[in-house]
Amino acid sequence: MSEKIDLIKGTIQNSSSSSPNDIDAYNIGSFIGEALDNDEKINSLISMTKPEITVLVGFVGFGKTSFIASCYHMLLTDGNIGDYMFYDSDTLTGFERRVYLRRISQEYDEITPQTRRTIRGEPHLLTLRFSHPKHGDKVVVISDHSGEDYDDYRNKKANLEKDVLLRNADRILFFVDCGKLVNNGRLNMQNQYSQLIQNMHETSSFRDSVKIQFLFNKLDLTEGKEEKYKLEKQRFLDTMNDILHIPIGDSVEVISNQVESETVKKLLLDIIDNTRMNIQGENDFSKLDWVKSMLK
Amino acid sequence: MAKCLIAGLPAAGKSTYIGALAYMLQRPIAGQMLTLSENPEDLSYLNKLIDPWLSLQKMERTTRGYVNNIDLNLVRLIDNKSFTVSLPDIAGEDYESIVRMNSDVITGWTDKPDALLLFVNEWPKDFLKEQIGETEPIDKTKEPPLFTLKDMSPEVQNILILKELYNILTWKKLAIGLSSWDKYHEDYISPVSMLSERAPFLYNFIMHYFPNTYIFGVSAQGDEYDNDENTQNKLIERTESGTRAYIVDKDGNKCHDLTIPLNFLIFD
Repeated sequence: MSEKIDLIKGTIQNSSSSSPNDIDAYNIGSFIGEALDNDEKINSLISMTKPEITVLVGFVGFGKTSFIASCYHMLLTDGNIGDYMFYDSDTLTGFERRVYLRRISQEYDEITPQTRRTIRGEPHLLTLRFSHPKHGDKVVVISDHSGEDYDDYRNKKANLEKDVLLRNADRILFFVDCGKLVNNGRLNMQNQYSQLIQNMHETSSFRDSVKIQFLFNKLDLTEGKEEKYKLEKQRFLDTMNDILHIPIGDSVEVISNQVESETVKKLLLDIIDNTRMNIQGENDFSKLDWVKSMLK
Repeated sequence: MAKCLIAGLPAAGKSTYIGALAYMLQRPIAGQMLTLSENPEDLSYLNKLIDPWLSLQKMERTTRGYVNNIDLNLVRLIDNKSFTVSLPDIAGEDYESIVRMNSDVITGWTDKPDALLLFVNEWPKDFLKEQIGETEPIDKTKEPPLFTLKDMSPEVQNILILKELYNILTWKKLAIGLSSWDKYHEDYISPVSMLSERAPFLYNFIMHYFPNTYIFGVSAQGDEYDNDENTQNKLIERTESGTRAYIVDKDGNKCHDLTIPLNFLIFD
């Protein structure tokens, strides 16, 4: 028990003895448990096992925040997923911000990019801690950059080079907006991803064993256009195959703003399960120094 | 001196519990585990909590920014063991401010506590589902308000407070009191089942890090205060007979001895 309790210490950003002086400080990054703001910080996460790193990639409005909010909501309301008990996160405020952003995105007609960034906060790393009766404790790390960041990555290759976490990702989930697919937006989306993926190749952003998946989001927007969706989806995937030169895993179709989605649940469970498989396959990992050997 | 920090978000029931406890320590019921060995030198702050409890009035909000220290000399009846317990009454807003990265008031409290008693009185809403239809009308064309503490679920706020208090104070024992148990006793067989059903993540967090936590339900008021004379008379009668306030242990057993959690935290 004492070892577990020790894990609490240092897992969240500590409070300071100073008061926030202005409204910005009051709202931006001024709570404990915010998302972590740079990749190296995962080295400071206290964990006995190597975390599974999943990077969510998508442009503005593709639904990454909704996806995160749905996963978090499920975990918060059920307390577990499969045989895994959700017992902690180092970044609870980061998740709460995303849930709030998702809620107001549905309530308000338009949110300026500045407000969106202010609410969401710049930090992008989120963690989830699980316990399994047989496999023990695991940490899942999720990178949730803003869509603007990925625009930046496709425009300026040099910025992509700084993304250490992406190069160490176990899984990259590319988000696809199905609404764009069926409304003549495929070519634009294809071009966005082509430029980004080309830059990712040129900056060696794909780890050898990385699992690549495409997540077709907002499936509800294809209603009545099923044939077109099927065709456009295949064309899109064919193009991505040509650019990626890396095997693509099974695609997932979701409506990520659905509060209770079995598909989202299944995907989240797969991400957590993957953590277990990685650990079993890496028995030579020094238990406490894994991060130091991984992220440099 | 044993020290026990009583924590909780605003309106969690901390002061009401202290008021009811203080009255019972002075006028113990049969079989009560702990009693006062002598009256404190200064009863003025305690009386600020006892008076409204006896008059069936809502407790005034504790002033934020101050630690109202309450030192009680207690004796345990079964073994005549004496000890002094320090129970600081700190405003819920000061605990809330821990989440805002300001823990001045808590860290300003002179000594580290041996134990923590956290009261919980607010439960998670279905924050994603409730957005559909049931909220106040809003002007959709305006810029939305920024994220503030009130947008964070109370379950998560309580976890952040527990984490940070442990970081700062490293208490050894923990008890969680689910306040207003009179409202929930028909819906849940025990406080543990309520906590695990209404706030499974908080329950998991506690069980993972602090598996020996004493979880109990508490109704320090005894019932809702309302203007109905019959209800008021019943509460007064129950106050006089020592059967108004009560706790419910983890197995669902009801008992009017409010000192049991304190005994667990200080002695067991």
